[in-house]
Amino acid sequence: MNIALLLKIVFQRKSWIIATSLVAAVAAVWILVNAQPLYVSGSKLWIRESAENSSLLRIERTGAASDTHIQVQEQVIRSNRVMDGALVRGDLAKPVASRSILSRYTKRSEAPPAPKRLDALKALASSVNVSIVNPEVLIVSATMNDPELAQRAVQSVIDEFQEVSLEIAVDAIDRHQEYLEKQRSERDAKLREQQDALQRFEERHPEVTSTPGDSAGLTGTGGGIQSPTFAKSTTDVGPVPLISRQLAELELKRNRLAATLDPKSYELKKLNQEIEQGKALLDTYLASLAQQGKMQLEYDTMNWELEQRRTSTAELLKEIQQLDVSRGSRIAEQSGITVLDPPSFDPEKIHPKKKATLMAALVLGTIAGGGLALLAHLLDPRIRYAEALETSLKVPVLADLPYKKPTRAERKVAKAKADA
Amino acid sequence: MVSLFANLDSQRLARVSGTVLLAVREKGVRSVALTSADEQLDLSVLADTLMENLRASDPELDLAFRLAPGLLSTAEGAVKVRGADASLLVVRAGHCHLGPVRQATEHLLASKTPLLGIILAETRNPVPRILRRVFGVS
Repeated sequence: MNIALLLKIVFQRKSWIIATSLVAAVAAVWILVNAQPLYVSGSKLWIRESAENSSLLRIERTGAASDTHIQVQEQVIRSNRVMDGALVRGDLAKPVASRSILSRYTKRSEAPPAPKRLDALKALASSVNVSIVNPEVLIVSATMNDPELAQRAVQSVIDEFQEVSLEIAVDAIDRHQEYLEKQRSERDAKLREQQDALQRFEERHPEVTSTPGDSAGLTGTGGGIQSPTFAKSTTDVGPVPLISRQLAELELKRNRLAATLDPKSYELKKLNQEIEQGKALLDTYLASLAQQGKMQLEYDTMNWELEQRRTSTAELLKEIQQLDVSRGSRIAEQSGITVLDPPSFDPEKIHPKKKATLMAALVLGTIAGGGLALLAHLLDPRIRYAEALETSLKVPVLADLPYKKPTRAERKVAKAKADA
Repeated sequence: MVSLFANLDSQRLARVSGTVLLAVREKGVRSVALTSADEQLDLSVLADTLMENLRASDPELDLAFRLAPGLLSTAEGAVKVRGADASLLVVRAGHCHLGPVRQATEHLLASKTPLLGIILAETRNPVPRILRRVFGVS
């Protein structure tokens, strides 16, 4: 299809194109008149991750798309909890009066009936937008038919978000404290149990636990608390060495007399008897000493465990005290939200754009009209132009004789010729 | 009867005359049948004007136009066409449908009478003159 034929088709059906463009323009005007004006308000937030304060937990943050923390924050803002709180905080559940041009001129700007809470929540969620700028910065914006309302909505969402984040942080710290308190009570109970066990042991075995000095005589540990691993052997101290020494002297004497005296002599028999008695006494002492050593070991272990429990309980108490002292700073650290830009107030509406809408309507109307004209031409079986005829029939068109409206005189001549 | 050719454009008419004259000289055509698919079309004015043009070019020209309207509807038209040495199909723009014109063309091409071409009459160019000049289209 060449340009000449296209021009002919377009001008042949120009009324269609003009009509379609006019219809589109009227539709655009109707839309503009009925459309709600939209105003936008935005606020920039800086959200720090608390783990970043610790060098061990520092995360290499490369991009917002792969950053879970900022995405979680975005979802927190979009959550029903935040939106619901913002509805109440900003009094946004109230119905909003129409602000279209038509309602302004027809004075029909009274507020519609109050929407259901769920509908209001959905409306707020759809008008609030959260866009991530980078792993630490995001923009919260709201689009509404009133600039003041949009600003209030953003402010409410941010306030609610901060409160919810704070609650989450407080909740985390509370749960930590609760855990520590539980640990403390468990340790206290075990400490008391240990103390009771030690007391009962001391009552049962006063010979072992009477004084720390006595125990030193038996164990040689100096009475101090030490790990059972380092406790000394209990067989090299006490009366045992004295008896052993006396026994050794008697055996030496017997050996000396055995060389000179008859083995059946009274003196040797008496010496042997004394040695036997001494050995029996030594065995008894040794047995007695082993029992005491065991008890001492048990006592030392109990003491050591008790001391360990006291130390760990003290450490736990210190941690709880520190948590109490730094609670405020930790909450602030956990939430980590800073408002970089407060919600903006922009009286310039972003929608509808009159010029752009009208231009788009005219362009689209013209294109649609052109399309309709082309379709009408294709569906029209009548022959109008030489170009189409040549294409269809493959026979040369020698000439197209244009229509020329005859003048009155020409019509008369033609009529006269026809009559003749 | 509808007479379309009371006020013909001389320039275009000269073009048609030139083509006919060429066929007459090359193929020895002595009679040309002016035919159309439309029975109601009066072709006499066209024939007269064409004849005047041809005589102006060549006063000794031996040529006769035979009017044969209603090629598809009347037997007379078909007979007249068959009796001529060549034929010219006249189509009225904006009124004739493509189907009958196609049928008439096929009929003429199938006959022994050679078809010189089509004359499209009563055409209307809706493009404004200024645009025609701008785009260089007729």
